[in-house]
Amino acid sequence: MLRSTACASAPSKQSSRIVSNRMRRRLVSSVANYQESQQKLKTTTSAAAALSTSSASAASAAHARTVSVQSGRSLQQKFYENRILDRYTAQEPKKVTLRQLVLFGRQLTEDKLVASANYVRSELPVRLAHRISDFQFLPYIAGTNPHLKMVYDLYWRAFDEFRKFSPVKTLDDNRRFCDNVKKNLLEHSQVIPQLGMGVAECADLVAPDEIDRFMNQMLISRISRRTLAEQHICLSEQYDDDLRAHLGLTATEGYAQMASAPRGFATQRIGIVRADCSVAQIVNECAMHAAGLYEDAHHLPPGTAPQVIVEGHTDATFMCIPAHFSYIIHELLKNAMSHVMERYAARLESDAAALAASSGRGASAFGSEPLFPPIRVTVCSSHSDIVVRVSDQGGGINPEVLPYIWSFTHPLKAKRLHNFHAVNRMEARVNEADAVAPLMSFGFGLPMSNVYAKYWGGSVNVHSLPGYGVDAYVQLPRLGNVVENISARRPQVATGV
Amino acid sequence: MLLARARPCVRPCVRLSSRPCARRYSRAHYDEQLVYKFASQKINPVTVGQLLKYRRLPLSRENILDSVAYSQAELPVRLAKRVISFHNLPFIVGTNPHIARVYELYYDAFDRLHAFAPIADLDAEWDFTCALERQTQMLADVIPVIAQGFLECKQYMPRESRTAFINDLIRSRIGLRVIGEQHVALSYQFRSTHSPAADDEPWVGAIHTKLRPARMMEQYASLVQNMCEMHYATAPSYYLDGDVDETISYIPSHFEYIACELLKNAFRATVDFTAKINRSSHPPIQITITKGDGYVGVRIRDQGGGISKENMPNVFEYSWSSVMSASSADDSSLSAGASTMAGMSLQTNLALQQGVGGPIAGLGFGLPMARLYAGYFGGSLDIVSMEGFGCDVFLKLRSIEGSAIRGVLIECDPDAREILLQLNSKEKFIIEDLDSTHLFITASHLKRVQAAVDKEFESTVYEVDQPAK
Repeated sequence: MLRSTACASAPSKQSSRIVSNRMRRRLVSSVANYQESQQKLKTTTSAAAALSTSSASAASAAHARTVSVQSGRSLQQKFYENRILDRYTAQEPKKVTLRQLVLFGRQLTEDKLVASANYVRSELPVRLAHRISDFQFLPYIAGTNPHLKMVYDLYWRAFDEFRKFSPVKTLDDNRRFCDNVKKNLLEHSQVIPQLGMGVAECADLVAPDEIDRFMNQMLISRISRRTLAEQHICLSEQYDDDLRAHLGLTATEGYAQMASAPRGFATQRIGIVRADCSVAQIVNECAMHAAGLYEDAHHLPPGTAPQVIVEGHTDATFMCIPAHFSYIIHELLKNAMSHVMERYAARLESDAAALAASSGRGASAFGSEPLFPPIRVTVCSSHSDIVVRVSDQGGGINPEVLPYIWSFTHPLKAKRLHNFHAVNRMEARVNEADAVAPLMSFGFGLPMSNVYAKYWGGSVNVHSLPGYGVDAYVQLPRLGNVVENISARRPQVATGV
Repeated sequence: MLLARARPCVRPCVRLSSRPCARRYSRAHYDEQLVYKFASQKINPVTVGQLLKYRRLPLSRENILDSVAYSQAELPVRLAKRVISFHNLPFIVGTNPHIARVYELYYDAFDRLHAFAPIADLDAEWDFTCALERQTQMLADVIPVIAQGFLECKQYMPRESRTAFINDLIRSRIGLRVIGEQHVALSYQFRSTHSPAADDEPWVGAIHTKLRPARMMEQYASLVQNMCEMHYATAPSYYLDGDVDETISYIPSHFEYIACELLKNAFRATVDFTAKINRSSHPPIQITITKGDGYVGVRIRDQGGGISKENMPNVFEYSWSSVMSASSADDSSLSAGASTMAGMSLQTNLALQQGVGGPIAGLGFGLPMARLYAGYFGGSLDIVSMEGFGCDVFLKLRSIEGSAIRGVLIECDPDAREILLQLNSKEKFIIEDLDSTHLFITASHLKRVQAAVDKEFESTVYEVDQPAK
């Protein structure tokens, strides 16, 4: 930033010097402010220093000046290149429904696969452009935060890459495209921790409402892009498998023979969507997984974690992306379990002797009384919706925290968001809880579940009964005929006279 | 009343007298000065401190005279404000017989109560108390009448204004009744021969300081179950769990009204749904009592099929009921005698709507009124519907205790008040809604509320474009 006087690509040297001088002064003060706030908020400096991401300079606060080094260009240079972005933000994203995704895969031919690749190729830049412009409308001080700046640069790089990608015409092109997309998905898996850290550090500098709106839009769009990308990749891989089987090739050979498919070859796949996902089955799987996490973390024998009982319309099915639904249920169950175990922790301690004596023998060793009151999950299926109620007796939510449970930033939560410093990657998936310590809480679970639910037109509601427990309700559309709930960038500010 | 006390409990029907029209109109126009004089005075919120003022002391003559002075100051002003609110209705709406009847009732009440001279001795106080009691009973049944009146005026007033009017009416009516009943109860308590030591006495006027929600819910549930049995020949069972030993300080008649409305809905829905899907037995209704910090929570869970998405916005509307048939709601060719609601004549309606023994469903204002009652002392009522399965109702009641909440009286213009009411739906801070320009809110929320209102106003300020030159 302080080297900006040397930039040669600015159109008018005179104006660039003026701009850069002013910017430089503001940057110096903003960097000073930022460093000051860093000192106040920093709790895990050693962890942060040890953090290594693919962009090496983002981690340490002392190197705030090197913010511009990553992209190799200064922010001022980028200002004039923004016209490219405007072309894309002028377009509206083409939204899909789950049904469309499913119907698309019904007769999957080479042409259709290629068409899908081109749809993804043209959609991703448009959606990325809208979110990049969201960054650009953040307050300046927030945009200079190294974590947010890092995500901003990542998005710019991805945007550039995708818009320059040539149209896909053959299966080989498609495979190259898929490899490219996979690489990007991997690189962007650090977005959530970086956003979390950035947002925590900006908690004092930007109004919480604005940050919440920004985060919600960012995350919903991120889910939408990843959904499109993963769906296409999944369809392509499944198609390739079917093609291989059709041509009699083994798993490892044959890309040369598979350059293009025989005429009329079609397959039926629906990628990451499931048309008849069983609610009860997913709840049971999530329950087992969450119970395992807590039992491992507390070194308890299997069977001690609170039992999860599924009631109601236990045979209900609906059309959904199982990964998304599992995330929501898993988060709610984790919350429920942790509160119940905390509330009845005394029971754990008093039974510690019994535990030690009977470790390994399972729940029956404690007599017929279960250690904790069970968590009751009720499934309701109506014509157009699925409602899942997760009801626990964990003592309710602290009334001081209650107004802020849906917010991504709040002073009470800021401490938790710093836990992101210890995490490199996070994709908001159920299975990654194995890589991340389960007891680490980021203050993210509920808002993130809300984002997943809202994306397909559903909702998550929480009613707390203080002193008793919590009832959480997840409502999702059942038939898959609801359009993606992504929004475009905020409308242009009208220029007055 | 289930917690019956030793006092006369006669409830006369509303008198359907017919006064000559000319007198009514001329009265409205020419006698207005007195009413406006009273209505222009400020009213003070019904504070917890005032209600519990005589908690510890044995009731003495001074206390009673003090209490009557408070009532005498507050009640005519509130009644006058109600009368004025009728003056602002459209003329055609005001001529509707039902609405005119209610207007007459309020005017009568105002006439009778404001004329008392300042009270200095117990005899005068007793006269006042009797008059107060009579007026309270006469105004007991205005809600069905006025709801019917507004139903007939559907095409003359938009729904929002009708709802706003009825909401204001009910809220101020609750205030009137609380003040009035509190004084009457204190008066009887003072004069009753059986007077236990002040410390043991759980009653402070109309407030019972050691109410046990679990026991009350048990009684009401059993009562509603009997009613259901009478009406449908079958009834679901119920069970209570949670913190059953907790106590709360509250007005039993309010609790009774709210709880019975909610239970009636739960029982009726369960029976109807069982018939609809042909299941073999009624799933029991679960009632959970929870105690938080100064709050008591009651959660009623039923498996009555839930409320469909289309009907959800209507459940808190007046004169809307899922039991009412569509035809009676759209009936536009109505004459005074033949007007009906839920297929019954108004007389039958009124006869049935006598306290708790009212009809099991169908009049369309149980839920909105229950919500207003719950909200009056800072509580809340929320309904979550799981369509195809059942409903969960979350009722929170704030205990009326001396040290419970600190309030701030704020004065605002109607626009700001609308904004505040909207904010209140997300995070409850309004303790009492006094009238169109005054609100009583919790002190701890003042700064936040101020900031929120400022922000709203800022965001809706528009710049006037300069004309191009």
